[in-house]
Amino acid sequence: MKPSIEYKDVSYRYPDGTEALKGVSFQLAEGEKVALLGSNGAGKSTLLLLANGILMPRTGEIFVAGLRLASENLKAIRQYVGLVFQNPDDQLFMTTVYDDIAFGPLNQGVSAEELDALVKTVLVEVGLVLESEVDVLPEIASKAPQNLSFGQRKRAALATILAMHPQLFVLDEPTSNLDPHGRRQMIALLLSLPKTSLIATHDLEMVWDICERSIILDGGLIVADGSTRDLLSNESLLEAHGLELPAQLRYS
Amino acid sequence: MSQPFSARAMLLAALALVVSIVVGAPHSALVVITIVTLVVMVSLLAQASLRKLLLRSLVVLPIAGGMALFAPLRFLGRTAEAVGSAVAPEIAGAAGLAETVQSTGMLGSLANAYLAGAPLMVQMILTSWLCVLVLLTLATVCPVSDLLFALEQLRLPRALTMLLGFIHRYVDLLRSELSSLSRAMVLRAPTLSRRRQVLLYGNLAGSLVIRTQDRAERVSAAMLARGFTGVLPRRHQQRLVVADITLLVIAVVFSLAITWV
Amino acid sequence: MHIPDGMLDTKTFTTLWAGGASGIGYASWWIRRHFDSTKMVLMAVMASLIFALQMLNFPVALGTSGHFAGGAAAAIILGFWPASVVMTAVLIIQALLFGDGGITTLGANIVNLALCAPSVGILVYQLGCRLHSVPAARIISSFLAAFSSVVAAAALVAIELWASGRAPFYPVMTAMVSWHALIGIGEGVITASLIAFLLKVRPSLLGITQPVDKTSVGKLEAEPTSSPGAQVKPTSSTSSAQAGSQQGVVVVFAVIALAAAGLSFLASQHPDGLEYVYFETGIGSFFEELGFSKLAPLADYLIPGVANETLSVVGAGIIGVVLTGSLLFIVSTLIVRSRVK
Repeated sequence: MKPSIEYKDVSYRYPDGTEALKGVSFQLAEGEKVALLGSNGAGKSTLLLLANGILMPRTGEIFVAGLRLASENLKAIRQYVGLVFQNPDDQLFMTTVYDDIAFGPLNQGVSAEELDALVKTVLVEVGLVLESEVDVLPEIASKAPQNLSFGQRKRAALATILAMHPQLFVLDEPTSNLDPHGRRQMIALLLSLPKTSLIATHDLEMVWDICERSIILDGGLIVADGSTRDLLSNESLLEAHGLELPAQLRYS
Repeated sequence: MSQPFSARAMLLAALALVVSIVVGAPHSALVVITIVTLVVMVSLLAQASLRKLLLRSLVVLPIAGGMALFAPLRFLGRTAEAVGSAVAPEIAGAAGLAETVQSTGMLGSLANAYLAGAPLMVQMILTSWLCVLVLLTLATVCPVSDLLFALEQLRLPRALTMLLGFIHRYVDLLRSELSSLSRAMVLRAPTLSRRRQVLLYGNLAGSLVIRTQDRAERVSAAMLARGFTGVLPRRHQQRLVVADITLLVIAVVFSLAITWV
Repeated sequence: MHIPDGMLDTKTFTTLWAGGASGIGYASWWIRRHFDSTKMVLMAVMASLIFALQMLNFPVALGTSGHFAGGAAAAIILGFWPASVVMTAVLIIQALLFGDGGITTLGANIVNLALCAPSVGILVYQLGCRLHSVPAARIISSFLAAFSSVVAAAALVAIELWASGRAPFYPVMTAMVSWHALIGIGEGVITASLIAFLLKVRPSLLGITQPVDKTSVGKLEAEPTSSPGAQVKPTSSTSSAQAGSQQGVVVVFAVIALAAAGLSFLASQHPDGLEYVYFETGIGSFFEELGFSKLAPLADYLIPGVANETLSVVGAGIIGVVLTGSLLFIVSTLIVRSRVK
């Protein structure tokens, strides 16, 4: 079976000279949920932005569902990879939630008639609307993104990507800045997604719950790649790369 | 809340009304009362706070008043004849303007000019206020996103409508960032005078500019990731329905009436 | 400085609408030609920032305060045409949603604040930078740029009020320019310290290429990849945007000159807008009959003994404006107080 995404010796250097990635190789099988761990500045965000060609590797190659990442394949690749940004205010830029969710599908060529149904479906999927209310277009769809709570915005951001039906989810810090309740809801939501996911995060507790495999990045290099349980029980490894196990996991 | 009229029709109606209020000045008491009644009715129907609307409409007073202040000065330095000829002859005669030519110095003639020009001044301010009232009613009745969509349908340049959408989306966010920055500044320098604070505004603004540039890059990446090609996609084109057309016809007739009556 | 509806007569506002609309139409075309999607987004988010920055208040005089307008700053950071579209968007939002400015006067406000202010700003800034390339020269020129952009826009407002027959030339010009010279100082100080900050922290934003510090987060910019189907146009850097601005300035001055020519032509055809109708329809006569004009006799000339008519008109104008202005100030303060409660 073809891997969902494959990085082959990928390096990236920013124009200002920062070496963000120095020869990274790994692959994700279909259906796998993989966590991308590492301290700030380890290269996680760069790695995510490379996944759908927002950035292009300086050296090395990336294959998405067998397609090589190159400008002629970008459209298909962006259809396949759904990238959710850390800050929902970067992700939600239209004037209403409806328009924001519709933005991706409209660019994909979804017709206006199908939009209403699509918007309702994804709003239900992310739990912003209860299933029983979906006869009419829910009120939240006509709200401006800035009038939602932070947790709602996080979920709306996820909805904008769900609406495009990607096969691979790439999530940057899906639980950051959420209150405990919102965080638990988000974790439940992520668990319910049957899709292949690559999740960059500092939330090791969530990783423990969701991802069977983890990759640790440090200084632009992959320093460990293996089962989450193995990696998270290796305290010296975590410590060496600036990661800290939350107390709850340490004693469990 | 569903509205009987589309935002486009309401926007057009409001614009027609504003233009006719400006072109049709000066206004008789009848016209003023009619427009105010209209505004009151619309905002009552929309269950908007009338008090808030009226208070908000007062913002125009200082600016309009400041500009209207100069209007009576046109009468300064003119001879009575000149004023008389600007005034219709029969009025000048009735008021006995021609006989009252007596120089009493600067203050006297100034008072004179303002007294003669007061109605003009009042009319200018009144016109401004009525227009603001109409526009603010539109803004209270119509959700902002609908108004922006209406502007897009009225074929404003795309670059401009995109900017309008972004302003609506991000201005509150940036404002709250700005106030937390300035709060943090004031808290660390409680004794700083207002004037010294202004000198530091550049730093607040500067750090916001940089944050904004970084944010713009992230937003742009998020848009590219969702297939943005430089042009915002259009939603389904709405047609004007019967209710809209009725509203427009009424608005046009009403506007013509204001202009010519 | 936003002119509200009702302050300009029909010939003036239609002429300025034509001028403003053609200027902005050209600006939008220029942007679509020169900007890729990344730059479009940068401009759009910057537009919200300019609007947000207008929150910055500074004391002017007599307990009043002015606020940052940002025309010159926008032009220095974004280049002239983008700045004009940004300012126009801000003006539209203010007029439609906040009752600040007007619909019939939108054209005038666009000409004053979105075309004239940024063009004067960028012209002064570039002239200053050409004289000297040291950072201090940039900072001083940005102060002068912001100051002159405010004063120039105020002068245009005065001319428009005069062309509308709503104010005599000298008093309104003197008052507008001197008042806005004070406001211009605040605008200049904020703009200059903003430019000083950016020179230190991110000079690339000002079109200055220098080794950037490594911690800079603005990494994404350098390698934008447009999607397939996107018009891949030559990505113009900030400096090239500014290069395009000189043509822009010329075009704007041409537009303003044309508008002025059209205005003076029209002005010679019609006596006045409101004033004419006001006396013709008899509303004026109502007040006349109340006897207002009998209360104080009309003078031949303003100040007896002062032969120079212009001087005496200016003098009397200032006194009149100050007197009525303070009255208005008291009234509006009372209104504001009651609103705060």
